[in-house]
Amino acid sequence: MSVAETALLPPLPEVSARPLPATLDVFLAQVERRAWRVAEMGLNDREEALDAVQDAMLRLVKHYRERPPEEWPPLFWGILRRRITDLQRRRKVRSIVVGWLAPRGGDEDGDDGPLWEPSDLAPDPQQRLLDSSAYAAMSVAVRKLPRRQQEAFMLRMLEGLDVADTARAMGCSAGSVKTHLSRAMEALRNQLEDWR
Amino acid sequence: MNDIRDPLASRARSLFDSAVDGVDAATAARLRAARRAATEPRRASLTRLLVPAGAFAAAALALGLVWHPHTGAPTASTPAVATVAGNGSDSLAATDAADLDLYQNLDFYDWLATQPQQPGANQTPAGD
Repeated sequence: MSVAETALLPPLPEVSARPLPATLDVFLAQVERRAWRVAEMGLNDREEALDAVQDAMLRLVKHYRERPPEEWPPLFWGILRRRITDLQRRRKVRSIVVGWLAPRGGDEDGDDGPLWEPSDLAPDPQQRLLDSSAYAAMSVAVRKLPRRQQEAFMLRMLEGLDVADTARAMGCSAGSVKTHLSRAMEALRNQLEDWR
Repeated sequence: MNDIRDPLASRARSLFDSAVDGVDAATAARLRAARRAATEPRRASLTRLLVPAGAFAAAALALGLVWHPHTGAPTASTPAVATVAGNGSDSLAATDAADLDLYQNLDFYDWLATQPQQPGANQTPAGD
């Protein structure tokens, strides 16, 4: 696709352009499914994704209920991002401990596997009904990105937060968001060549 | 804004939105339940406040009931009633009968009190 064609594409709606929710319940109803999909993409586990979303909801309500509605999106996505990171780290530690405790037989080829292997990369039946293979390919490609690039891509591109809210959710500057996102897009372009 | 016009970004967002719309009913129900659980702790915390308050009120009431007999000092009439009750039913009946005679002959006792006392009225006649 040429630059001219790219310029003709309609801009994707950003969260900032959506009407502000009146209550926290309405806001959570708007984002719960998107949050679960983001968590599922980051964790590759439906149950852990549900736990992460529920925990993020609880923390948002408990600590930030009184904040103005325009602050809810970056706060919520920031909480969810940290929860996903915590779960990923916990998994990594668990796999290291299990690796130490388990007898070191190794596989026949003598190759050590990754610290954590995704449990199931196959799309579920719902995804098969949709454009499942493409979504699964994108999920796999996103999971291969470094953590900060993943976060920038998911928050900015998939959820549609603006740069300022993405920076707030990630706890970094707007410039860092742009850098992470640019690298993420480049890596994804290389991984998803058949999308061109 | 240019990055969002990227075809890769556009495709990714489109796939993501479709996946969001295609979340299965069971997962959607669990997400709703999670949201309800998150937004309802205020009611739970109110209940958490009401339970100890009720317990405190009940304890205060019980303490008040236990404490009341000690703080209510016995009045002058209380021992009288107790004394009368302590003499038994026979003495109570005798006292009632004497009082009845007194009330029936009240006019006589009034008249008797107005009469001048005669000298030697208290003397016992000799030879009796």
